[in-house]
Amino acid sequence: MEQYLAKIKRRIWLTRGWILLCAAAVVVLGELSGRGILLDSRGQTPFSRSWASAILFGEMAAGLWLIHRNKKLLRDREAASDRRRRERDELRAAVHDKSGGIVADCLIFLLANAAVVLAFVSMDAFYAVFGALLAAVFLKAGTRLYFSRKYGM
Amino acid sequence: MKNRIRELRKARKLSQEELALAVGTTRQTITSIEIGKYTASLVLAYKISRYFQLTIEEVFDFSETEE
Repeated sequence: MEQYLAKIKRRIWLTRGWILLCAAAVVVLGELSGRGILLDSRGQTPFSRSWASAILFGEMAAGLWLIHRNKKLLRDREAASDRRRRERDELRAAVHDKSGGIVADCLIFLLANAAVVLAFVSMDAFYAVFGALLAAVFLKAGTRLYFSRKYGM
Repeated sequence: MKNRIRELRKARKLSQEELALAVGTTRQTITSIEIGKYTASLVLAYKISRYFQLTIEEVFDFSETEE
């Protein structure tokens, strides 16, 4: 159990680091587009601008929620034990693996962040990566739904 | 894969949640194994069998998978 609590603490620190990186990205991207080095709002389409903001701020909001949830687990050992049991559950792991596993998760994460950066670089590149992101998300969600039903989850 | 988990559980008046807690899994997984939608891993099959103090063959029916 102590090992799991240490893992949760590491997750909290990693999430904090990621939120700081996102905040730094907001400042850097804003500054570079303001100086004309990257695309500003006139060079971006409203679609790309709103989706880039939604992804970036969505990641920060999700990070804050994860920190809140993990801190609650540190205070409540029973909830942490229940959470550990659910995370180690082999049916859940099987459905996760069948729907692309860690590779699909990393791919979606990379494509989402690439889309944010490319929204300030090139609209053509943004739309290509955004299309790939949507395809990856739908593929992951579809296979997850299929295998969840197949295994009676 | 067919198994006797439901029968053994009922005989001991155990709920799915209680069995799940005892073998370190979730109620959903026990349900899926009982209805034959999911085949337990060797480790989980061993834990379930050991919990009922039986061998794996006595709990799980391998006859269909051998063909």
